[in-house]
Amino acid sequence: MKETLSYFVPPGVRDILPVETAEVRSIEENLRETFKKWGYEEIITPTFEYLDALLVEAGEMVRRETIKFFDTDGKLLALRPEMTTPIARVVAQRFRKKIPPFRLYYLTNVFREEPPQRGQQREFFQAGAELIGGSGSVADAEVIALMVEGLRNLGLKKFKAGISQIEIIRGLIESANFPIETQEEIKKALSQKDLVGLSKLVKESPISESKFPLMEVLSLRGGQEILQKASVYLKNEESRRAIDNLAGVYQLLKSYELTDFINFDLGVVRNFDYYTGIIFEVCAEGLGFPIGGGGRYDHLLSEFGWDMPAAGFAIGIERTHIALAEQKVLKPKKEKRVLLFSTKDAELLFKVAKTLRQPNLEMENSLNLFTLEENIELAKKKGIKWVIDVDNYPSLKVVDVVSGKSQVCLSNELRKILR
Amino acid sequence: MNKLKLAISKGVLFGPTLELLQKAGYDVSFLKEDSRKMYFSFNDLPIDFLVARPMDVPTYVEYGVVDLGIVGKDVLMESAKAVYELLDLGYGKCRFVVVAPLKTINKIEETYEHLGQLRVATKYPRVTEEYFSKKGMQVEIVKLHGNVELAPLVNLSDQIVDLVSTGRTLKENKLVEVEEIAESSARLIVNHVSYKLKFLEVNSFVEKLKDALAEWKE
Repeated sequence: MKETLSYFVPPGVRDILPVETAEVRSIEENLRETFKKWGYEEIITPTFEYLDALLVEAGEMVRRETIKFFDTDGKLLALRPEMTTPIARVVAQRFRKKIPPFRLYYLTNVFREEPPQRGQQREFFQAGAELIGGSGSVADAEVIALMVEGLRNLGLKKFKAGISQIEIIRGLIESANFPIETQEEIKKALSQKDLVGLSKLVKESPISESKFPLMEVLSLRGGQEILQKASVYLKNEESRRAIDNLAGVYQLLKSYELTDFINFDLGVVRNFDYYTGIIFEVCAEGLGFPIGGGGRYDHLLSEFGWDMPAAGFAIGIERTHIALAEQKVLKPKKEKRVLLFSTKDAELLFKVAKTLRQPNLEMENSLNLFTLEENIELAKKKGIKWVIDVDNYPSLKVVDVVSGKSQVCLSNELRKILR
Repeated sequence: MNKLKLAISKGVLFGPTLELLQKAGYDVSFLKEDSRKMYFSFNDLPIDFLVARPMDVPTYVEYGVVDLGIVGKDVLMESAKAVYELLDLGYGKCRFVVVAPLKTINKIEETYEHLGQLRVATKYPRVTEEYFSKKGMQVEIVKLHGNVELAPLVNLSDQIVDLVSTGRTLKENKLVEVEEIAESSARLIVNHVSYKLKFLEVNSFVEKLKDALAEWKE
């Protein structure tokens, strides 16, 4: 006797069954509609590429988490850990004769080695957009507005995008002239969110706390007033320009009536090294992890030979799905389901099915020449709302499985009955 | 104002944590460590409480099922969860140390030279691994679940990595401290999203604890 194969899938990947798939796809379609309305075009890049090309400006963490393997000629390949770098590569290599700015979006799977306890899979899905060839607060505001509007169009209600500029904290640390090891320790504590360790480092540093107000700046969070407060602490030219940019972004988002969904949060830290300007992350009620984020990365394209400013964002589809479910605003599209059957003639069933199939109607053929009662029983078990007897075509007998009521109609009247 | 949820560690931190909360103005006299009830929510209290095993507190916080947690730095180091560490509460002090038997401590270097690897028993493999790899030493880590001090006495390991507070257990077992890895004390931790979306509530709780801690010191 042949043994049944008992292989399951490896840890960190999973099968997504029809109910969940339908919800995930409806989220993706909804985001696609928003992206298209803003003039963004979809792009597909390879699932795996040369490791070097994927990790051009990746941080240590992404470098470690990228899933790598060998090509037949011994070159190192990797599954894409994110989409920003591949898109930067494509634009720098293939768009030279086109006129910027470029507006591109993607809906795709990405791969990372993550400890499984984080509720994060090794394969997960992202939606995102990149605005390449634009800079300044207008371009920054566009990517934030697009992300926020995309989430709102999904029906998400309680969420906030926390916005900062990477120059603010970086400028503060660099202008303090710490030895390299101290700088590294501070950056490590920041990325580990260890504010206790951080404040110890600040206290122990030879620079007085008033000249190095890191802890104060990190805890600045709120509306427009934060920028005023921040400028008291931040004296260097780079930080001042960053604050001005944030003020500009705020005004633009105000014009687009999105300020309810944003705040300034100078404690935002991102895990990618390629960011050069504005950075942001989105937190939604109902989920303990951020659902998305992004920022400006003005030097990434020059790594591929075309020096051009750019900004973008990515939204985690699974996390957004959970947040929508937790906030009870998940709206799966429900199609009408019908089971079509004949008690005696399979050819007739095929013929009728061809004329009846139409949009927004999920019509299954019964595979057996069952009786009406048997078909109703089957439909009940499978959650199908109607069964239709085609034996007297063009007259159809339509039975509502739940109420048991039946009506007879002509095939062109079917749409009216299936309300 | 949104209600906050706080996870409290059972064990040595439990008593001082209640005392601190009481000082900070929260009547938590209903919290009992050994009760069967582990989740407490009252309409007239601005905080819900969850009593959990220390090792689980960072998990509850990371997943966001509670906003805040009070747990030892030792547990945070070993669990390596993505949570914000907001405040050093000062109590529950102890230290991560490398320990060797008095009898064989002088032979450790020789063993390492000849065998190229030391065997270290511990309940904290992550902390141990990180410490020795930073030192550039090759070690074989043996994970145990308790009474680690037994390991070198029966020759299971050359050294152990353990938490000590008074050092009495070490003395009784004729063990000596070789090096200190890190100091630990109770910490207030917060979930990433709670720290963003409930910033005002979290901040006002932190201020109350800070005031209570200052009062405590006096």
